[in-house]
Amino acid sequence: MRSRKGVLPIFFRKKSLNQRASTGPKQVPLPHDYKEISTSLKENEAYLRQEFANTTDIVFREFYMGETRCLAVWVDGLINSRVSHDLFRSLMLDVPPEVSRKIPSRDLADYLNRHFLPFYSTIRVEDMVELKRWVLMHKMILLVDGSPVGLVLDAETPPTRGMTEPVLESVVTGPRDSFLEPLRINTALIRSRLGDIRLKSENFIVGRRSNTLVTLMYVEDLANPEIVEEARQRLSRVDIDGLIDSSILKELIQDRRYSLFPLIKVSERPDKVVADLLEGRFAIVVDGSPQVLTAPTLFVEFLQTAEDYYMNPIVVWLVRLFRYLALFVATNLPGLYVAVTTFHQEMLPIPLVFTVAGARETVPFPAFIEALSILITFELLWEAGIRLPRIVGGAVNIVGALILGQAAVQAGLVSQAMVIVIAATAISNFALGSGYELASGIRLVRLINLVAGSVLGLYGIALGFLAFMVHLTALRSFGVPYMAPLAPLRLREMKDVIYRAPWWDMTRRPALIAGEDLTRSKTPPPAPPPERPPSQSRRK
Amino acid sequence: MRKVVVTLLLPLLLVTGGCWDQREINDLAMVVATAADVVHEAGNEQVRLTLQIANPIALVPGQGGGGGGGGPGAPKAFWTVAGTGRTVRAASLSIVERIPKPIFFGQDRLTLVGERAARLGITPLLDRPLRNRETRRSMYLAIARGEAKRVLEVEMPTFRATGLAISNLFDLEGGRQAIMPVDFGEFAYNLSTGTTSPAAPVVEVVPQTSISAEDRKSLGAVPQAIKVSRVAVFSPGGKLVDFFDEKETLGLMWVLNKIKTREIIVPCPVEGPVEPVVMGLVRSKSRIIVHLEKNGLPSFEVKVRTTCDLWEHFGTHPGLLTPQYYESLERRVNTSIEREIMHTVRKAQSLHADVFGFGEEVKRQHYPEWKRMAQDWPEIFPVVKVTVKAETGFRHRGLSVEPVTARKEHR
Amino acid sequence: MEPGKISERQLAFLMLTVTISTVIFFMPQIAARAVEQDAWLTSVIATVWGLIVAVVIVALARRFPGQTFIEYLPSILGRPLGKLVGLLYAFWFLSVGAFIIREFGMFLNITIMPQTPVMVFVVTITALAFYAVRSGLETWARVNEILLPLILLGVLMVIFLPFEHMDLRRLLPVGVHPLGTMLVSSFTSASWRGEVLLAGMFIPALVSTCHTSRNLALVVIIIGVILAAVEMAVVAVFGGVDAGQLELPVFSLARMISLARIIDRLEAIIVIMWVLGNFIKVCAFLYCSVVATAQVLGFREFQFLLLPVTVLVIALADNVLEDVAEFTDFLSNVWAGYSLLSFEMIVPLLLYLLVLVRPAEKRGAA
Repeated sequence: MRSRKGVLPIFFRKKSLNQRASTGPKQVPLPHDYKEISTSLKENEAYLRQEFANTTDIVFREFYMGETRCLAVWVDGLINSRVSHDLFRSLMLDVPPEVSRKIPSRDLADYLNRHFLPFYSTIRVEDMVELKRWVLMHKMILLVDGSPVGLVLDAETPPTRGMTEPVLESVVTGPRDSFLEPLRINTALIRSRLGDIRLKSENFIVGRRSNTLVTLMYVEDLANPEIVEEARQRLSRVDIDGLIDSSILKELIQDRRYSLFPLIKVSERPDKVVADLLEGRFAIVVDGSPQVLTAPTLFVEFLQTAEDYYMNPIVVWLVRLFRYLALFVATNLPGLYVAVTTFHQEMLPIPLVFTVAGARETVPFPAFIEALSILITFELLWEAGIRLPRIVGGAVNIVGALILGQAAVQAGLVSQAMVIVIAATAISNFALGSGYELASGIRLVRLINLVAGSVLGLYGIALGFLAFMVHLTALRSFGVPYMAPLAPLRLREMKDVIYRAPWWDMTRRPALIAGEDLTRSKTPPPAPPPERPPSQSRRK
Repeated sequence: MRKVVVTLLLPLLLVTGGCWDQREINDLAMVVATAADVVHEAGNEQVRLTLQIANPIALVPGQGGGGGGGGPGAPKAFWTVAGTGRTVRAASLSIVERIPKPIFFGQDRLTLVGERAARLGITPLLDRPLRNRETRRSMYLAIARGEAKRVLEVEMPTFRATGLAISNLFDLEGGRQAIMPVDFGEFAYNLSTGTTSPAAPVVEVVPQTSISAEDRKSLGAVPQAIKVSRVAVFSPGGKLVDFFDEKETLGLMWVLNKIKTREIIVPCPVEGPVEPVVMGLVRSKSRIIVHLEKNGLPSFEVKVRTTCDLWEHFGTHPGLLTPQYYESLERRVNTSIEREIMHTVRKAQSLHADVFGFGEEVKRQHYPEWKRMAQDWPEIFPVVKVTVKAETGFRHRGLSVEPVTARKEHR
Repeated sequence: MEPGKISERQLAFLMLTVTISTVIFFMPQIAARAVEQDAWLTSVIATVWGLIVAVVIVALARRFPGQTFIEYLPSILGRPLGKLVGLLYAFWFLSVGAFIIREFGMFLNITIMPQTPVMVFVVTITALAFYAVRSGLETWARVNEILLPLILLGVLMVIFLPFEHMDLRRLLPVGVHPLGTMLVSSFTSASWRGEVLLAGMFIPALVSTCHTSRNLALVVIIIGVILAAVEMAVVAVFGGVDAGQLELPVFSLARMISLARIIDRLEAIIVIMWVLGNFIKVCAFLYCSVVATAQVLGFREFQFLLLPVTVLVIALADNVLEDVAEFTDFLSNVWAGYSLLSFEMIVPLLLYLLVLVRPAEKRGAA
């Protein structure tokens, strides 16, 4: 239909916060194009049939209620058939014939809406254009002959899969549900955990052609209003034909054109999103995407996992130290190794220097090429491991481990030391916490450090470190400095960076992110009960 | 995007420009020990530098020739090579022509200086290692009895490099008995004071002691070993003056706080046959106190505080370990320490060599007077009065009490 | 002029890094050569001069809120003279920046990479500083907040880890050198401390200024303490005489570190500290010379001057002081006169006196 009528009115994506029809629980900003619904069903039907011409998956169901002709239109497969069945049953069988005689036909639709529609949500619409679009947004519409009113009935059952455990952010303790593709399920998962009246949600329709529903959620008094307004602005600036996944939206609304590091967090865990909302962040749920965006984001968050907040804080402190170590190893070790063995041989202790030199004696390549080749092999194995069907995956492992590792070392093409170095790097790469994105981003950092280390030795490594520091600190996520609370240094907010303070001690929200209400917890620290004198009776 | 391209291209540009200081680790001839001799060659004095160079491929198990190094065809783990030249650097350059890889001094652990070179003056030999970026001040310095080259040429059964063996010995056993490790930093410091006589440990080549006279005939060549046990004493100007014997070295080590652990043998204080008792030193700390005498000369009081355990009672009779004898044991240890130190002091005074840093102590404690006597210190040192005061604390006597045969008398 | 805002802590951190990143490497040798084991005393005396600079610069800034040092020069001295002095200062920032960059390259040359041309170091570090300064004052002030703790950790390691080789008795006797020699040496030491003068360029960018003078005074004192500790460590390890004969005593100090034969040979720390610290230092001087130039010439913006000034600094750095010996000689003999005794302490002090003496004229000029 769009091909004939041209694109849908451009203002679909224009933000509009004045809800003209805020009847149902699901508000969608209205399109500004306006065509009144005619009292003649024939006219309406003709319009709709013309608009939906050549679309076989749209169902036009015509039926009579008593003598009154009615029309229901929906997208096949998106409507719960039991609910639609209920509709026809109640209208065709339960409505007494005198109703259509007694009620003037102008008010008939409203009357039906009040008395005979057993749906949990209906919207009354007077605009044909809007009504038409509701069809495309998974709703069922009902038109009654004689009434200039259309009814939008919510009987949506989008095709979905069952609830699964999170794939990327798995935990040992803590909740195990994860987001699914339908937006409504995702918002429900969030709302079910956060029953605060001030948890607000605003709808946007993004995508000129896809008409994707996007919901912005935030807790009104926790989120910084300026940041939320900024998010609204950026969402309404998006002008794209289709929004397939939340990651696309992420690239469209982040603060920088290019950034090696993720500026908006992507999560598949409802508990994480709720925790972020409670810290004053906002969440963006995109229909059709099982990943929810939250922002503003800080760099240190990518080194944290959901489980950090469920485990013993003392253990978490240790685990986090290891993660920072892993970050260092994953970014620097290959570069450092090449720098030390080709520039600063005097820095190795004497047994090590002989081991490394002896192992390298048969290797035909310079250390840099050696490191680069194994590193690339590792990257290829990684990629293959993700893409290959699970059945073939085993074969890749065997080839990778045996042939490339063992055989290359035995043939003297690479040294054992180098294989160990790259293996340590690879392990560290995945021990970073929840940041899969970070893990894939720092691959480039590692390569650049390798080049810098083999060109200028330790000096090169230091230069690389500085360059990335400048890049990182220059980044902002919705205006919040990315490296906070390290830079700018905010000692008060370090409670959740290198270590995690126990929950009774996490009294405040991050001030750079959250709005006015900074008090997180007033729980008194746990203490043993006051000592009571031993009771006399028990002594006996 | 342009920015990204530029950032990526910049290092590549540098790669094509050449990496100036890049050297693959296996392309280096890694020196683990150096020996410097001064020899008379071609009519003038020349420095002969002997380097002990590692061959890493023979040191890594599983690679190359590997393991035992037994077979005649197997590559040797270390290669000792010598070259001569007018200076240290010139000598090492003359070696460059004979080995296939650039020489790398970054892993050098030990510098040996030959006796003749030390007698002629050690200072010129020290300049290159102190100036060179690769060598370190924490490198050990030792004086070889005779030619230093011979020490590095000794083949040892366990350590394949003499140089590494000696530096290992200093690392692990320095401060035991008469092994007194000295690194370049300390030696240079002592030379820089202008009054202190530096001392450095002495390395000797000795025959392996287990060989009897008959073996010696059948073996033909005698297997040799390395011994480190004494110190060589230098003048403040850096010329070798004399060697201390083992006892004098021990006395010196008390004063310089170089002793970590050692045994002190004292006669058993219990009535009866005189039997040796070995006291083990656990820790010791000495201090030099300077007094100014009426005649304007300083006098020195060396105070040593030690803690000892009983290590061995080489005897049969009981009673030693009743508390009444602890004090006499301590007294005997004290006397032994005092005697050792006084022995060394007299020797040092006879050599006019202030090995203890007494002059430095005067400077530290009585600066105005020191300024007066600094010039004449070489004359003052031999005549100053030195007293030693040792104070020993007895700690424990090990896991058993009396010698086996003596136990029944205690029932 | 500066759109970014920094906090007082960031300014203090900045001044700390700027000063400490070079002084601990060169001062021990200069001080030890002059007064042997009393080297650390000169650092203590120098704190006094540093405090004077800090107090004066903040007091001047109080008089002219919202203005950088260069901006209020004409208000004190009158327009022609003020502009002239401003120009001199701009050149001073530029030349000291060039010295630093040159010194940076030469240091790496003697310590770890003897074959690499100095220009490689000069160009890379300046390019990086250019990138940082262009990213804004806020950015590199924040970078510094991450770097300073690392640098301080490195300094602490260098001070304490060579304890095996230390003999604290080598610090005796204390204070036996004539006061005159110590004073002269303290001027050199304070020339680095006087770099808190740069704060005069940053004060207008501060969010608040209530603790600025306290902070800067603290910075000067902390540097005094750290420098004294470094000098004590150097003397305790090498002795007063020998320390004066080492080209880079702190580097040699790091090479002495050996802990249980595992943590060994820690020159790496020194190299990293040197690069990190100098990066910020180059940023600071580059920024100051750009801003000063722009303000003397009366521009409202300074970003467009960044590239030409960067190129100029590189060109200057290629032409100053050819070798390390010359450099050390410059530092011990000329540096005090070129910095502390003119630009850093005497001129600001005179300015402040002028402000005090001629309050009326000042008001008129302003």
